[in-house]
Amino acid sequence: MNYRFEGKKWSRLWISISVLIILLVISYVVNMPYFTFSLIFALILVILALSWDFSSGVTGYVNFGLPFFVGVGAFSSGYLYYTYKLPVPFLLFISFLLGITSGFLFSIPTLRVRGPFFTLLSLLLPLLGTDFILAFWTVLGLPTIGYYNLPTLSGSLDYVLLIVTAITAVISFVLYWITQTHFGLVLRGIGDDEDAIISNGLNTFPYKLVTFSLAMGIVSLGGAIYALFTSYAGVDTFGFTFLMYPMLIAILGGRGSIAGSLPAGIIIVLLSQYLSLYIGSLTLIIFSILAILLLLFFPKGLMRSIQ
Amino acid sequence: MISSLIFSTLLYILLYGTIFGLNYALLTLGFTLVFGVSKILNLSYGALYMSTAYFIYLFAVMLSINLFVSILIAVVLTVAIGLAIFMIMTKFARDPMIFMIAMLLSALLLQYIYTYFFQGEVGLIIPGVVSNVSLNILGVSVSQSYILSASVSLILVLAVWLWIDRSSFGRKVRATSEDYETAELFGINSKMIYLLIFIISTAIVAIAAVLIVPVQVVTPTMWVEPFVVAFAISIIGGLGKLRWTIPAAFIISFSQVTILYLVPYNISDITAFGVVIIFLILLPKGIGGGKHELQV
Amino acid sequence: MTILVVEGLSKSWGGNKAIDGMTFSLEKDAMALIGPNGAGKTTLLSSIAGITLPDQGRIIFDGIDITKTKIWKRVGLGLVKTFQVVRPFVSLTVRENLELFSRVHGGSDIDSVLEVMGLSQFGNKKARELSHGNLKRLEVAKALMTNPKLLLLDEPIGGLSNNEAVGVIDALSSLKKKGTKMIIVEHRLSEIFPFVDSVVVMDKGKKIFQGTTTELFDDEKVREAYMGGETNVDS
Ligand SMILES: Nc1ncnc2c1ncn2[C@@H]1O[C@H](COP(=O)(O)OP(=O)(O)OP(=O)(O)O)[C@@H](O)[C@H]1O
Ligand SMILES: [Mg+2]
Repeated sequence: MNYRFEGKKWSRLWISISVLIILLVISYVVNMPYFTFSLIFALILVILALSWDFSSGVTGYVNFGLPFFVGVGAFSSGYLYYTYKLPVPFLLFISFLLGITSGFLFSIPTLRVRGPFFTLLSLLLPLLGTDFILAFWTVLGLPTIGYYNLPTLSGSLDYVLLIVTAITAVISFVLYWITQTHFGLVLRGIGDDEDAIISNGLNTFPYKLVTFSLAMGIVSLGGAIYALFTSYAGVDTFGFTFLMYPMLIAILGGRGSIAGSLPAGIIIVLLSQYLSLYIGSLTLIIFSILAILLLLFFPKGLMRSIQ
Repeated sequence: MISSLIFSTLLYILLYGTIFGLNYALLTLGFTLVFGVSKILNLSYGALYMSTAYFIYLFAVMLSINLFVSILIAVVLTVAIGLAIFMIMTKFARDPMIFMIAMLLSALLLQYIYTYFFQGEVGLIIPGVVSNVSLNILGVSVSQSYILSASVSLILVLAVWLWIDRSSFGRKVRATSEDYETAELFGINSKMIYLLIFIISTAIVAIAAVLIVPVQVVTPTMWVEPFVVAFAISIIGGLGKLRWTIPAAFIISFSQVTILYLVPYNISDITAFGVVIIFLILLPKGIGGGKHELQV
Repeated sequence: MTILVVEGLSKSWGGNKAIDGMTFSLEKDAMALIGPNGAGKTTLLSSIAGITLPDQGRIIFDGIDITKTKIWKRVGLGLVKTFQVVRPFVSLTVRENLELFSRVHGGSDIDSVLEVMGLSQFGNKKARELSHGNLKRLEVAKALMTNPKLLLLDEPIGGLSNNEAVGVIDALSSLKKKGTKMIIVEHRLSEIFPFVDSVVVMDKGKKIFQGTTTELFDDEKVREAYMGGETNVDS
């Protein structure tokens, strides 16, 4: 067992974490709010990318459902704050648990099917996310326009960055560690040839179930962080930005690598944030064209494709 | 009194269930056809539907060109866009995952483009080929557009099905869909078949838009509904199984119309989703059947 | 006790009967299942292993009716099949390919399995870098990781050079000595016949012969099925 925990395998993760620390230092030195703001936004998307990579990137089950779970996290922290006035750490933790629960409920029927069937079903979630919220919230008599004036993670942007950095680092570490265990081995095997695993005696379903539940829990945590960062949770949290960026980051960082998401995410998000300063409302158009081209021409990730 | 209420309720459910079912079958036809033949999920399907609507708005309303000319241009342009996306993706995408993601991104790209050029205006209206005046059928009012679209749907769905089932071209299509390598050995150009089927599929969705959008409104997110409907129905029918399209469409439309009648909120899409989940648990491979087996 | 009993098993692929009322039991330790291409051998093994669902018939393994049991549960009972066309996990190393199954049915010791199959020196190589011969060994090694009581081998030496084949046969012999029972589908009869105790011949989905290897060559039907031709064909 232990041989995989030695030096080399972990070096890529340490490189990623060092990148994070360097950026943190740069952000303090340059002291530009827009840079810090963009960096926080980038890290939130990296959190989503990490969990997409951990679940879909490794296993090959393409999941388009992320925005829905971002919405679950954002809305539940809004609801919990307004109803029970819970402090921020509880909001984050409960959103995480609710994400796991909804990920679990979603996974039970959908992970029974594979390939395009699974992908189509997962895509229905964000497409219907607003309908869901509108229907349930109306039934419960809750505000459908969203929640404003949520508490922030911290009064100072620098502290927010520090907190989000710490959370990102912990998530990277945990997910990376899982991919290096026997559990992770099964996930990688599923990505190669799931039927060959089943016919050699391993039932893959519980592995997939745990993976997707945990991953969607992390996505909801990301959604809660986003809501508490912008102090707003509304229907637009279900937007496809929260799918497009994480998938792009995970793939350009190298599918299934976990460690690659951090550098890829920072490059992509900072680029698009600064691009949007110049091209304004055209950003989404230009950026989706760019994303399509990057995916088509760097399908193995930026590093591996260049090599 | 009560019995007449029950009667009109049942008539309402029957009439709208049938009309929506037929429209849905048409919407699904192109989607499931492409999947059945080439195993390609056309995730830009809904966006192509939306494209036709915006083109008709552009030519017929903004530029005041004759409606029928506008419709013609709109259908041709939609097919051209669909074809461009198809050619780029099949040529450059390396694996199924990249293909699906890039396809979804191109649907979003179209959404962003229309949002940008039409300044995100919601609720644009396009003219239909028949007047929007409603007819009264035994006390239930039904718009003429709906009657037209349902009739055309029925004809088109049956025509395409018969064509694939009976014609010699249909035989080639079925051979390609079963095993394209063997089909090639028998001198069938499967690339050409894929391309033709994709063109037909895009034309179908464009025609569906021409018929159905006049009773709806044009917005940059309008692609979602036809998309959800086509997904739901093709999953229930078993992706790519043409003969199950109409029964599956009726399952969805009747559940939606019934629930719409019972529940005061518009949860049509959620109903479709719920029905899909139920079917998935009971019949993972669709009503078309087939046991789940591994490849040997 | 007979470890495997198959009764009236049938399976059609779209009207074409791949297996047609097969009935046999595994009496001794190692059995060869032979027959011309397309006879239904792979379909039969797959049905026994649960990879294919048969239309009719019963399968009794170790006294338990497993006709409807899930594939992975059958492996847990001690029944496992290898694939004719190898299916390695290409992005994993050889050792990881085996480690995946280290918890199935008690699990085996990876190093001894590597040793038995002659793969020790390739442990840390990615499976996609292996030669065809080594991939065939890896296919058997994966099955061994599950501690099988009955091993269903689908052409374990198909496409191997003579030297490589001898290596695999040696490994199988030592397994047989340790008490693992096996059914071997193979076209290279001369290489496996010294090693098996009985033979079943299939043609067009039906059993046309069951007996020992010596009885086999006197059988009229068998000769016909092979059209009196060369039996030592690779596929
Ligand atoms: N998945 C499948 N779908 C349709 N037909 C199949 C399938 N698998 C096998 N067949 C058909 O069933 C028959 C028996 O095939 P099978 O692979 O069992 O034969 P075999 O005896 O293993 O042949 P070989 O010696 O070539 O491996 C063949 O006619 C084959 O074409
Ligand atoms: Mg075979």
